[in-house]
Amino acid sequence: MNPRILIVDDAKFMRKLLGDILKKGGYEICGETSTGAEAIKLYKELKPDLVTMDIIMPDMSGIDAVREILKTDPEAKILMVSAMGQQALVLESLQAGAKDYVVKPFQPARVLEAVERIIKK
Amino acid sequence: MIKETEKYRTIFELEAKEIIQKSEEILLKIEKDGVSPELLNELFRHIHTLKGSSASMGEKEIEEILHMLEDKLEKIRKTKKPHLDVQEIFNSIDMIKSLLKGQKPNLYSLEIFLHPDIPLKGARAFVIINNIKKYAEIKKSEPDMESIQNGEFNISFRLLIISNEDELKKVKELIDSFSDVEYFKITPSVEKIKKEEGKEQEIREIKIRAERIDRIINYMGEILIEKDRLKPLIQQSEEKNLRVSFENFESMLSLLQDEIVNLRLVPVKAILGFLPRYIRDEAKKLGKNIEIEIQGEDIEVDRIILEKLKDPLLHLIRNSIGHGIESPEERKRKGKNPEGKISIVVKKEKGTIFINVKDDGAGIKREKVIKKAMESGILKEEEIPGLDEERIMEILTSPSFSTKSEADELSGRGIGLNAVRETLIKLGGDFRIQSEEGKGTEITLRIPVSLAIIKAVILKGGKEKYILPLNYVQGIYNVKNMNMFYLKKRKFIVLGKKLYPVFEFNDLLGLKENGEVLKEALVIEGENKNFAILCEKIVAQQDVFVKNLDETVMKIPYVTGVTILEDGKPYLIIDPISIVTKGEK
Repeated sequence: MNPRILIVDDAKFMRKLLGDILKKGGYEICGETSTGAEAIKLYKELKPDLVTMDIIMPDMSGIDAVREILKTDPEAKILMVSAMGQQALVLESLQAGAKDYVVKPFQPARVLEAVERIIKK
Repeated sequence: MIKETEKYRTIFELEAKEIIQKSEEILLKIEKDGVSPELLNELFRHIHTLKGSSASMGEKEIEEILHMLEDKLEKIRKTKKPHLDVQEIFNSIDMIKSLLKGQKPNLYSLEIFLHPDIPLKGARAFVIINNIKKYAEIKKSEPDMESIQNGEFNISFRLLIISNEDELKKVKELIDSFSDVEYFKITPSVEKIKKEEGKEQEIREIKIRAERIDRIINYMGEILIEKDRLKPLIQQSEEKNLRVSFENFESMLSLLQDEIVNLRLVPVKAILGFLPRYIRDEAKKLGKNIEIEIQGEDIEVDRIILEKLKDPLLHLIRNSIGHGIESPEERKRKGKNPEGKISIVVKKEKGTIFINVKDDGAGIKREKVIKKAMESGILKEEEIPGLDEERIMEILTSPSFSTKSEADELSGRGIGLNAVRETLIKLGGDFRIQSEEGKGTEITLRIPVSLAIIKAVILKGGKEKYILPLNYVQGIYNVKNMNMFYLKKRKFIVLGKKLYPVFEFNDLLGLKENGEVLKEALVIEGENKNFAILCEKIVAQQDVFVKNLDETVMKIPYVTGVTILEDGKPYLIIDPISIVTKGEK
């Protein structure tokens, strides 16, 4: 069975882009959402192998969502999705327990490399 | 804490190897002949022992593997038709072996160069470092961690890591998986080179296999025997130079002997270290809470003695956990602290080690011991009125009492006490039980520090010479000067305010007397027993080397070993306490 991934991003375009990269890499997209609150709920329901998490979203920050998800499952594997120049936020989410990050605009190889590395462990 | 346990790594590793080897032998047997409960139990015991010592050494991974193995074996033990996947166990053992080998950490310098144009290089470095931490310990970084995280470096940062070869391979693979890394360099670190320069200091501690030390001690013994044979020849010599030179040789040899015997000393911790965990676990199984206190665990004892002492000690502690300490409810009812306590105190006085194992449990139930002893015919009714503690302890340790399993439940003690006593005697030791019903039991083990060379008296009995260890001899007196009298047809000696029953050495050994005059009295003070042995003549007092004990000789309970004297002939080493105990029956 292919590893299952939950995509969290407020922009539909980004979800599509990321989804396509991941599908091509042999992953299954088991769910997607545009808000942090929904992400937490979906995580509990779907138990995905990995979550991609946008850092800045309208309802709550991706970092807070990371913290909440890790509270329910300390083993959760989360990949942050960040725009250029968000060094401080990326660092904060890594310290909060996210495993890695990718930067927009995406380079498919980088995205797959990070996902593979996280899921392998 | 880590430094503290590192001292014991050598003995831990050697013991681990021994246990692994034994376990593998058992597994091979199982593979060949099938599973038997005995083999399973033996394997379980080995795994359990190693688990305990790994835990004390802080070897978490090894401990976990062993813990899993133990669980597995425990389940198999309980099934009616046990089946064991030998290969699976072998695989686990291999893992432990490689963990043991990979123990010596190595220091490497790892410099990582990132692509110059990657975004968020601080965060990238952070992720890389977090991943490396899974395989290696990071000792230092350049620049410091905070600067790295904030991207305050040009294109590269350097880490000082500790890892073994396997881990290092994984680190390399990991870094390779980051395409943000342009390239990286791993070199044995400068710090390591420095360490090697400083190795002259480290080399002060070297590992020697125990068998090698045993061999050295054996050779030393042979040399001492030869020396004793030379001595009379040289003393008769006219050559003054030869005599003086021999005297020097003798005193040097004695210094060397002390040093060599000390080689085999290891801290008692080697066998006590695993106890806190063991007691906790065992107590938990029985729903009891037991606090453990250990004192004096750094005191050093002959490794051979320590090994032999392990089982008896465990026996005593199991007794305390299982039968001594009451359940929390019962303790509350009795107005005691619901948490029981076992304390082990090790002390060293001159050439003797005392190990005191004390619990605050139910104590020995005297009435029940008496009842049981009468039922099994050890005790006669007329003995009861004047029954003293000494006799009770004797009953508890007598083979016919303590091998009965019911005795265990009845007395709260008993099981294996005879075996404990026998082991101690073979080591030239003794033990004493003190118990107060309702308050607890205290057992004191007394053992010599070293087994190889003992201080002894050589005495004449019949036509032969015999060796008696000096550790119980309170004094040697001329019979002529002793105050001796008869009480109920038994002979006693009075010394100070104490009375010592008198035994004759030739009688004890069953030797035919030829009407020799018994000139000397050896006054012996054991843990439970004081008495005097009369003999014809004390030939000498000297250090004797204890030869490896022959199994057939060891079957005689009061013979603790053999030595070879200057005439090149073997002589028996007699334990005075057990021979007198035998003589009383």
